Amino acid sequence: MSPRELAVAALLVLGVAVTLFSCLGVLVMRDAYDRLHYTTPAAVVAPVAIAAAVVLEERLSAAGIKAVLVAIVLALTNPVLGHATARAARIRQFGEWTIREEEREGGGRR
Amino acid sequence: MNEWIVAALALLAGLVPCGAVCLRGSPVDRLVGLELAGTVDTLVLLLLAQAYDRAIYFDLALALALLSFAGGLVFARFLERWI
Repeated sequence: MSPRELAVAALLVLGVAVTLFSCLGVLVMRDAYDRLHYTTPAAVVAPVAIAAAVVLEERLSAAGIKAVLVAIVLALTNPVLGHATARAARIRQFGEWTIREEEREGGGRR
Repeated sequence: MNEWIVAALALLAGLVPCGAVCLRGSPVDRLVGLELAGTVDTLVLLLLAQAYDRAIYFDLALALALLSFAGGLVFARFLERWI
């Protein structure tokens, strides 16, 4: 096994493992706010690792550039989606999504 | 069977917890499961494109990434008030 193949395999294992643990985290957390945290590693670390593996294998050909593009799109859209989802959860819960009066002091959850 | 197909098959196992989350809990919980499933599907398509060695297949992953983002935003918007 050449060093390049070894690096590709290591990056693939990293990407797959991070994604699987994210899925498990989403499954075991208690509510939507906790679950949302676990979508981030699957959308940032895993695509970057897999895109890096593709680039290592293909160099910067059409395939490599598109893989990098997919990783960038996933990494950029995930925070927006997380914010929109948490906002929707708070509006359903409280009727508004901005900071509420009783949350200003003490800094408790929600 | 090269390493890309093995990785794609392993990632498919991650869809089971996502589906379980989609099947229970509040609507927002289910939306989070759907968003994560979209991300996992995008990664599976990325790996399969490389496994089959066709550059054109990477466009599928790109399209799914953009469309699952748009779909998630629409779901979040509707869950705010109406559903």
